[in-house]
Amino acid sequence: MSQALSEDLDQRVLVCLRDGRLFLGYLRSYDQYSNLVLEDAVERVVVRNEAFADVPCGLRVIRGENVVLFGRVADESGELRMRHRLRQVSEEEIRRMQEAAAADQAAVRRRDKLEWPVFDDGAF
Amino acid sequence: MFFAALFQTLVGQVVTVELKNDLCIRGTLLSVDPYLNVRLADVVVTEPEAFPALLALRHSCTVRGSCVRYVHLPPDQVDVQLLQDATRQVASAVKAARVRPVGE
Repeated sequence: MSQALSEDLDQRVLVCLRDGRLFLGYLRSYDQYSNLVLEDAVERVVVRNEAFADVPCGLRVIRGENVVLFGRVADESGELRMRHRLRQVSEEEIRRMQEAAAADQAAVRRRDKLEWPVFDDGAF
Repeated sequence: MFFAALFQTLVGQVVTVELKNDLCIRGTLLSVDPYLNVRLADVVVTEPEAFPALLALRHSCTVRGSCVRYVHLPPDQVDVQLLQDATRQVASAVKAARVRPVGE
């Protein structure tokens, strides 16, 4: 990767993964495949533009193919901008909210399915 | 290889990178490597509502080349003619160097 990437070493970075998950941690190592090592990592769980929680997960080695983007997090200004939109809640709270959001989505999917036109078999 | 070189010439320009997860990031191009990993400065996420957590990013970020769908470039900064000429030059060089397969 680019030369300037070494600037991020030992800094607190935010990593965005392909499945939408976010990890924060101190970047201790990386390579040309963007495999990353994060120390003191937390998973930042965000639910529906309203709340987030940081779930500690220790040391993380992230395989490069899963990485979408990463960058240093701002100490204060960026954090404030984010907190302006999201409030921080506990891990239990965010899991409850996650389940509620998933249930809502499932309900929407079910409704969409029902709205598909139902054809009479004889027509084909 | 042309494209890495092309992006090299655009360092310092403001570009918008559209990712495969529909995230759009606008920023100043800092560097590009042969994998087309892109490093941007002064990043602004065009849809902060969809990705509020990315507001925590400080000025620079690195996007993995494999996740990029489009890079929106300033059209007046791209020398399309040069790119086409270089491509044709290499293509004809490859053609000239090609060895005829046995039996033809």
